Amino acid sequence: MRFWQLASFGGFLLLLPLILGLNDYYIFLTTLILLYTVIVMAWYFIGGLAGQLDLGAGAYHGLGAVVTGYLMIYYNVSGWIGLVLGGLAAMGVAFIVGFPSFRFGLKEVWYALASLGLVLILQKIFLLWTDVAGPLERYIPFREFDPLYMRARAKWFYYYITLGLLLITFYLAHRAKRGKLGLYLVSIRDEEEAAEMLGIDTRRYKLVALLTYSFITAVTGGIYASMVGFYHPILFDGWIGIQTATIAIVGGLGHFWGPPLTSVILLSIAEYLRINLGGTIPGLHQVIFGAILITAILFKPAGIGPYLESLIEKVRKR
Amino acid sequence: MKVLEVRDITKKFGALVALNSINLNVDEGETVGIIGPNGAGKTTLFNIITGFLKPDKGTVWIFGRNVNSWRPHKIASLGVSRCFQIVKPFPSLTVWETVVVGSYLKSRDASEAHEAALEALKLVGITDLKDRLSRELNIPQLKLVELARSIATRPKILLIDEIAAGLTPTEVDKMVKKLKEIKERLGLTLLVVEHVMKFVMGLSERIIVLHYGEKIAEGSPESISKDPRVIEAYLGTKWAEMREWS
Repeated sequence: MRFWQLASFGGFLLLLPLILGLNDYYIFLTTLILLYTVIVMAWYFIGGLAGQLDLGAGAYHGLGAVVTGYLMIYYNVSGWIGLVLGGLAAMGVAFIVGFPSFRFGLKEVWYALASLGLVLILQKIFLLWTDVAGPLERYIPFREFDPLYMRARAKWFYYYITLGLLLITFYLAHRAKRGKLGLYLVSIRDEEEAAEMLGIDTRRYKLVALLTYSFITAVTGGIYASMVGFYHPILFDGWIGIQTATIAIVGGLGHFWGPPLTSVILLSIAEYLRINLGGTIPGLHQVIFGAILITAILFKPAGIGPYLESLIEKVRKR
Repeated sequence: MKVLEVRDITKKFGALVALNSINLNVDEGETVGIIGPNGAGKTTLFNIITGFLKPDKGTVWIFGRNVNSWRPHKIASLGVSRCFQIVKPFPSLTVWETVVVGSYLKSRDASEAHEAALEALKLVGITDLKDRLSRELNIPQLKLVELARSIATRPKILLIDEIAAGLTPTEVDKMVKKLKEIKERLGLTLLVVEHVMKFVMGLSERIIVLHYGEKIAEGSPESISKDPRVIEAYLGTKWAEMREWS
């Protein structure tokens, strides 16, 4: 029974571009939603497990986009290599910021503000660093269909890359949740001093969570840049981090399935509202989206994740 | 063999001298009780031994190594564990998971950790709480969970901070028996801070008395209970004088 459910769900994801009639616009939107869901899932490491309210997703997303795009444009380096190098660059920045943060015990709102600050700092750096980015968009060379270079006109190409990344992220998060890493991170989140007394190098494990998250988030940036065909410092967007944390909180902080499911549902609604209302009354879609968030937090402060999870359990058992 | 040596430790919090050149030696397999009125510096001493606080002066030696600059997790992997005075549970973990967090320290893989955790639960006698969430438990239960996760790290030295607080006299007797059993089984060296006299007298082989950061007495439980300085520290000068008259 479970096998067939999984198989049909997997089949649905695989055939989604066909179901959408290979309509590039719809596939593009779906891919965007999945990309942001990957970030939500990557945030599970630093936010859900390690309990750090990180708002810096935009920094790593932007960095991945710039590194991948820059190498594609100026060195003709394949995007696949760019994704890895972008991820490594993000890990480097995360280490430079994370090491002193954890060394000096930066926590809660202070950590949140510092991580958000990182986004703004990087954005300014790349606005001024005209050799690499600057105020103008940098366009990635067009290719009709070049999988080795990781560039294609058809959006389904990026859909499958993103789907692959999503599956890898799910796998890593699931493994962490079940194993030593997850237990260690949760114990740090719950009671840091007790965790230390049990022999856990709390700084090191927080860094492991941060580096994992920053790497994956940077990869989403690289995919994004190649998909839209350019990069620009506006990709260092503070909103991404805030959206990620909000979705994770509404979806149930620390829950495994709640945040990604909430992400897909809420972002679909948000996109739907934007397409249908964004043109008539500018900003109305954001007001409605905000209202949905407020309602969710008001009536289900622990997040809607637990409900989604028990719903899944019910379906499974039947 | 000396396993722990506190040499001339001084710790100040602003103008308050929490510990004033304290010396303490603990031999392998010993049970040492540390008593003293509130604010005597007992927990501060524990915080210094486990690396949560750095002393202003003096050194801590564990198994012949100067651990002054070490962080708590490194001291823990040397074989020191501790139960906190104010329990520090992991609210979102079950009792089982909590103990497994401890047992991973000296285990190579998950199955080894699970085995060690099960053993620790059995030793402490809380196997029945295994699947309960920590946030559902009461304080005496949480203290036992802390004991279990501490011994799951397979320590050589165990520091216990007020585990008997709030227990009834019969429960205190049971706890003393249980700790003696655990100590025997694991070959532990115990360092016990406690206010409940019945507990500390029943368990310790040697007792140290702290008062306003000074060590005012040291000796066997019998000699300590008769020491006029100790009675004075606990009950005041008047009481000490009254005792002399009677």
